[in-house]
Amino acid sequence: MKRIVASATALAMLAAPVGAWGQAKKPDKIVVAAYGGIWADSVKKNFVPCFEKKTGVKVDVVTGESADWLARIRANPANPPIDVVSLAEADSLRAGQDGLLDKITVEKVPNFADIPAQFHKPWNDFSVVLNFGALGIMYNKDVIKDPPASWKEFIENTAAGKYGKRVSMPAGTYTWGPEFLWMLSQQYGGSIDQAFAKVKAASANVVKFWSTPVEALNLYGTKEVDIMAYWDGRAVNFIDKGNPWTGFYIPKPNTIAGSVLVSKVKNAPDVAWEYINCAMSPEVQAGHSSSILYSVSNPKVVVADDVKAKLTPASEVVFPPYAEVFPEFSKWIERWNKEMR
Amino acid sequence: MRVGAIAFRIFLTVLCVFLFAPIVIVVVASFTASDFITFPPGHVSLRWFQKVLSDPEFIEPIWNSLRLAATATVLASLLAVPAALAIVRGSFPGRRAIETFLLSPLSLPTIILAVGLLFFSAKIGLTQSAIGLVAGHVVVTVPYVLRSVVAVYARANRETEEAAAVLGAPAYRVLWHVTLPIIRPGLIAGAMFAFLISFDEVAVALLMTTSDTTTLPVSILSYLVYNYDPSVAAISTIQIALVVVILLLLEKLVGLKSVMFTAR
Amino acid sequence: MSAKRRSDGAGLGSAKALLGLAPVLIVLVIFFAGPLVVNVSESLRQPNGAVGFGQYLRILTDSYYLTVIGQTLVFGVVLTLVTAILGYPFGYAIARARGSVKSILIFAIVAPLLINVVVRSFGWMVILGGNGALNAGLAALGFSKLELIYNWTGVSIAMVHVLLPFMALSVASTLETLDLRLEEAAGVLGASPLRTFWAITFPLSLEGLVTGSILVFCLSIGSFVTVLLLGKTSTMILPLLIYQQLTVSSDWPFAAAMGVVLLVLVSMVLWSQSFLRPRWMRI
Repeated sequence: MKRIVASATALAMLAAPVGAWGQAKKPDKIVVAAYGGIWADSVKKNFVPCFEKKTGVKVDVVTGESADWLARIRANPANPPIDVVSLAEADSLRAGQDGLLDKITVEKVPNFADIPAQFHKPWNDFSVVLNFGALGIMYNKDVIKDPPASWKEFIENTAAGKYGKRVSMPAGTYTWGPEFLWMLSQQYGGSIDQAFAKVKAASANVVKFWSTPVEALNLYGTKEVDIMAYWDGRAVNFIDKGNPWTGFYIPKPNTIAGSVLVSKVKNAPDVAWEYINCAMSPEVQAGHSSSILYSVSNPKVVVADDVKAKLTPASEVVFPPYAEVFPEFSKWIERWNKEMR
Repeated sequence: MRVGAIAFRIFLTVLCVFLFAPIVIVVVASFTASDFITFPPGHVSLRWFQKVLSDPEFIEPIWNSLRLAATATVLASLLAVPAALAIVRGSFPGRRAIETFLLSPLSLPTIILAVGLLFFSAKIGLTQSAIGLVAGHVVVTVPYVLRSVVAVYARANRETEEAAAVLGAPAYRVLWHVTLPIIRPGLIAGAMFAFLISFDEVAVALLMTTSDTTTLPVSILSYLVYNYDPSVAAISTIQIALVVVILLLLEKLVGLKSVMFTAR
Repeated sequence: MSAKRRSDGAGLGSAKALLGLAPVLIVLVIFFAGPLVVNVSESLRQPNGAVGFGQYLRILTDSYYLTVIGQTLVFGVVLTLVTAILGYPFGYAIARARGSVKSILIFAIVAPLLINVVVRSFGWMVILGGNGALNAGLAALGFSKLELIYNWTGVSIAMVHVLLPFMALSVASTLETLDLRLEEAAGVLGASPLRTFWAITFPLSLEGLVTGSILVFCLSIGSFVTVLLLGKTSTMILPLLIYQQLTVSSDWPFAAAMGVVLLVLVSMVLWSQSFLRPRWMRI
């Protein structure tokens, strides 16, 4: 009898660590990538509490930029230093194609069912759009009395010198430069050659093609330019913070989005799915949208009217057909460098 | 007074104005009450300082950057000084090649070094470790210390060192009491370069830091993606104030003017 | 200034020298050569997956990239010359100064490096912009506006600003060791100040000038943020191209090849500088 008890106890002791090991698969923290300032503040205010409440796992926020997060994941695919990453469109596409991400499904992320196809299909479900900005026209109402109604007008009027040498727009080598060029090509029946020709013609009147949004705002705020292609969230914020002389609108027919997508990195712990589920939920996205004043992807989101007035609805933005055009991007960048000298 | 001397002073003054100009702009702009970086600032306010000083996103990185720069400078100096002495005084084949190799981190753009370092340290198992970050900064800063010390030592008189040796001083005493004072100006200049380069370094830090070791340049870069307020001007002003305070402290404690270069 | 010419034996023996060199060589072989090898192997990767020199051919057979390489090197040389002309006198002044003047000069020369490069560039935009402080001043005085930004001029001004410390302090540190009595003696013996300078002061500071030039040259062809913010598409230099390829195009092989090309070119410059040392130092 004693021996049976002893054996049973020994077996139980052997089994215990194994059982504990199985449970210890849940890590004590996950690492989430976020941009600095109000973006990270929103993560800490809206996303982290939702996740920590559901799972009891802590969140470690790392700042930086899309390109360096991608590099870090590429360097350590087996043991990624980041569990949930917020890459830009092009980087998300690359990461998905190169097998660095896990596919998002409704089983793993129930709230994924709410998200419209345009916000995840282009990335084959490896990434999903969290928030997006729309590119529009920001202009000095005192100087420009009849702003261009469409993108075509904007580009051609600039070339014609209607606004003087006081125009700015994104550089083809900016993160969303290729998307901008694609959108221009759509105004000319899809001809990228035409797009390049038109921008080249306009470049004589462009003070500077901006490469970072802060630079752009600097140009506009110091009155170096009167009219500029720029992101909605920042433009509206600028107007609200005491600059009624500025106007902003989305030209016809539609515009491109500059989005932040969220993805689970391959080999990150499964509990990270819960974070993404939080990120897709209407409540959390409503909080995020109100914090950063950009539109979000879940159509069920309800925000206050004054916030809603500042956001661009999803119907006005389009995404390029990445499968076709993405391989062209690096060629366009090279072409930009050579032709825009 | 001679015309030459007056012209020289004017030249120095103009150059000082040039050196301070953007700094003055940034410091003044950080006192603005508005939500954007404008100059002149309009209404004056300390709100951006309040925001930045209470935000760990900025304050922790300052300390991380200071620690990292100090560590990198000390390590780079410890590595570079013996090497500089060996290069100048040593007689062995391949001296030129070795010197070129030791200086070659200067010729590789830091982003390429950073990307290579990221993948290399992953291969040797140093992921997310501070070792990789410090090593990267040491590699970047060693050439500055090395070249500065070589520059001073190469022209120095051998006789003093030889005399000391002849008079019976053991090698380490010659090193400490004769050689080190000779190279001190070069070492101090090199160390200053190393510290400032490391503090401002972005590429390696962007790829090798973790949430505990984020440096100030990385923090600022990430901030500017979605934010465009004068916080970055305020944090820059604080950075400058910090250096002024450190220099004043060193002056009071050590007599900086005598430590700086030679004691005269 | 030893008149004796020793060819060997007066210096450290090979063993001692190796001891001094070993630590830094080990660290650099691991943490510099290692990443370099990673980059070189990346640079040999071609789009179709094969290994070869395709990326290098892409650079060396395209007139655009050759132009950019040329622009980069010219940029480096011009900046080196300008900082040498401005920085040498400043370095001399630092070495000669005493007391609070010395502290002020050192603080002034170091000041450019105390602000983050992006924020510093914004400061320059305020000064050099079309509606900026400088042009406003010129307009007030009745002059016409100057185009000082989004061109090589603006970029060069901002770059010289931040490169001056490396030139001035290198020169200052070598002049600190100059025994003033040598200069006095020459004067007493009848040499004019100019002669004294050329015969005594300048040769001593030559090492400092060369050090400053190396550091400035390498820094100017390695940095890109200033050029990105204060330049335009035509003011393209290789490091900016590398940055673009790594971040927007995500083409590491191409970027690595460009980096290796730059490394080779500059290393040749570094190799040649070691020949500038006086004869008695050679093996």
